[in-house]
Amino acid sequence: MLDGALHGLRVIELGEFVAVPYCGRLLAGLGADVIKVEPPQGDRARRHGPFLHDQPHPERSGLFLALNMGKRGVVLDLERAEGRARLERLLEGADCLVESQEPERLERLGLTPGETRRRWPGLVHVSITTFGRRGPYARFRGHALQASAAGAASVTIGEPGRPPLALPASQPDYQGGVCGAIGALLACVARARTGAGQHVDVSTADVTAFSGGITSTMYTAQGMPWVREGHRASRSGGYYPYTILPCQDGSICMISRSGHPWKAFVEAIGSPSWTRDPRYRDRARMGRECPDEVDALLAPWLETHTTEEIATICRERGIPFSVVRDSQEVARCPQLASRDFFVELRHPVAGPLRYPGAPWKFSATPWRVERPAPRLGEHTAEVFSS
Amino acid sequence: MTGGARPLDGIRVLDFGWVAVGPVIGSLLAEMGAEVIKIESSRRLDYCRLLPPTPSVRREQPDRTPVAADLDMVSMFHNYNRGKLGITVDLRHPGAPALLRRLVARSDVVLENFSPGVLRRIGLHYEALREVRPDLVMISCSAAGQDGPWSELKTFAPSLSSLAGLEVLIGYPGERVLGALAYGYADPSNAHHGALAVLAALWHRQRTGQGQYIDMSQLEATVGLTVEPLMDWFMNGRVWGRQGNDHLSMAPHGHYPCRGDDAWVSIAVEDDGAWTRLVAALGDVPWAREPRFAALAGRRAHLAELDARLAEWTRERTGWEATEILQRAGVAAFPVYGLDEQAADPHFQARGLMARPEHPRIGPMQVYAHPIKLGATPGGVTATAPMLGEHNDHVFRELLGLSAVEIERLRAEGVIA
Repeated sequence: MLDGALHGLRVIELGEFVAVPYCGRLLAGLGADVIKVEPPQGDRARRHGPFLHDQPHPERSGLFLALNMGKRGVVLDLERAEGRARLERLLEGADCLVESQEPERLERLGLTPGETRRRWPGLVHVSITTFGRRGPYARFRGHALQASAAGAASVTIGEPGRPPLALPASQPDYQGGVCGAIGALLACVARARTGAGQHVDVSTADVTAFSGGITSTMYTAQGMPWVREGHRASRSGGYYPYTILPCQDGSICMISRSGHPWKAFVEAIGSPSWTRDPRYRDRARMGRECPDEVDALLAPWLETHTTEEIATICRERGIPFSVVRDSQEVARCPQLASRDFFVELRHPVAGPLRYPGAPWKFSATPWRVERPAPRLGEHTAEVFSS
Repeated sequence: MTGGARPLDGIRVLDFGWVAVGPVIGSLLAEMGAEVIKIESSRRLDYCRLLPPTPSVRREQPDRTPVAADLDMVSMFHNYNRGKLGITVDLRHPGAPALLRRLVARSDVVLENFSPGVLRRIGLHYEALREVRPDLVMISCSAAGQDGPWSELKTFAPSLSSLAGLEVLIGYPGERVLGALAYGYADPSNAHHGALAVLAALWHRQRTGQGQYIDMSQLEATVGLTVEPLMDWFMNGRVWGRQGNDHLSMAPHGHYPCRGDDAWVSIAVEDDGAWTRLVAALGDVPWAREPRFAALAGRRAHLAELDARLAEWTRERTGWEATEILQRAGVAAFPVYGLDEQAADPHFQARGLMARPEHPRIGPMQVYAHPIKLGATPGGVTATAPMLGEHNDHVFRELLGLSAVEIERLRAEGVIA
């Protein structure tokens, strides 16, 4: 098999759950040699699930299995001198350390960015934490939930008057992971010229603030609030529709930025008489003044059509509305199948399973998926015998 | 490398990106030191130049021609395109491909997010471009990838994440799908995934001299973020609906009401030790000491009651009062911020959330800096987005070495337009 793009790059992963493991997963898929360091009780994702057949087991957590494919795994007890010495041996030969330890622990282990820079000047040290390594809240505790709250994502999700909702399923951690991987490669590129490693400081709260922030300017520039409005964007983003509406057997995401798709949709539903009412002809006015009324007027048609019927109508007429799919529908998607997106791997305990595959197709350096997630401590002997 | 050097100094990027994903890949590469040349055309403007406040101005023009000065005013355009040079080439003009191939010969990276086939139809696909630049790195990031039955798919960020199985998770448990429509999660996520792929290919090229082509499907990169529901389907045949603020291994985990108008605090308890710290921090609240709440399984089994009880405590405090008490005890908590609170926050300010590049005509523009902080070779937002065609002379004269006469001829023919 051809080498990956990052062949020869050695990465030490010292972090649990999603952010650091997703970073390591991306780097491993791109061909880096990623060694995952776990504490004796294992990465917390091993205890998170969902579990195969709903039976909690450290080798059967779907989250762990999917985020740790392609890596080797060692167990080190960093509370003991022997464990710390082994970690230091690993760092001697590594290009990158990717970690998300609490600051107090990093200090105790002698692994603050200042320390790693002094002891291993060529090492790229990437931290992916909720609030970052610098700034007034650097010692705050936080998880993806706090990143969603601080990053002004939660404030935009949910219904007015009810609790805001966080970005689902730890999404800020995934974004921290990809930004950490970007930082790792940027620092490696810089090192090729300078010979010096450096610290890369990624905060999932920053990433969440950036990700929504660049788009929030569309709202603020129009004097529209950045707040939650249930199943639609605030003031419909300025133009109706910018919404998700239920249909007979599911939901449809309906967004039309220009006028043509909306016109085509109105024709497709038979141009009912209300669509000729001046009140419902100006999409900006509909979005800002009466989106609930228009939702109600559309409901009879939507409720008598299935997602499949609506998708067909939209495809034929070039209307960019889409079906809100669940995981079952995603798993059966003909587009994903035609591009062989999902991969099957056999894990010695969890058995054969399908997993999400490569985010990209590289023409010269393929994504590498040849190794399932490591069993707890699977490669400890192998890594430290040499 | 001297102080102020950036990681991608010396890399030149031709940015055919438009709307969101392509442009934000380009803005990241620019921030990290690459010279990024955005290719636009006044014959077919980047959609983001036409966002408010421009359209109202546009409607006043009898022939609906955009007023050039107003096209530079759009805040979102600056957020997506800052730090780039801007040239105008009409891709539909038969003279455009030859001119652009000359630019490709002097570039390291080409990025684009058109529908598949757009560049191929004018001879600017990877196989043709590597003839003029053998070690070229090129990325295409269309909605669904370059091949397959849905390759012509057109999406906005929320319709893409709807297809990817993400929006279906967003809403209150047992209720309708709400989605995260304003936030537009998929676009910046796909831009960051695209940028990572470009960097990996540049790293490979640096070591081996070999360029390559990257076919990125935004759909695939986004499906890869739905690991938990996807694995539950593959392993157990279970389909996830609306998740509320639920978390499989943390409880409590949610946004709790606080004193004040629409004020909330996020609280997450990651294990039983954190629960013990929370209970101590709450003070005199007997319910919290009941044994059924001591372990995660019990807290998950009585979640509704737990949330209601905890809300009684948070309701008597502001978001920051609750946050300070809980953080002092080592419990993850933070107020639910709006944009104003975020902009005024000393932590975000200290970390450089915003940059203020100077626009030659408008003055300082506020944009969000890319959230990747390198200690020794930091990036920097050095300029706003270009004015339409601002760097035509610089690029065609100084980079390509065209004479003033040639440039004038290309303008007259409508190639530079």
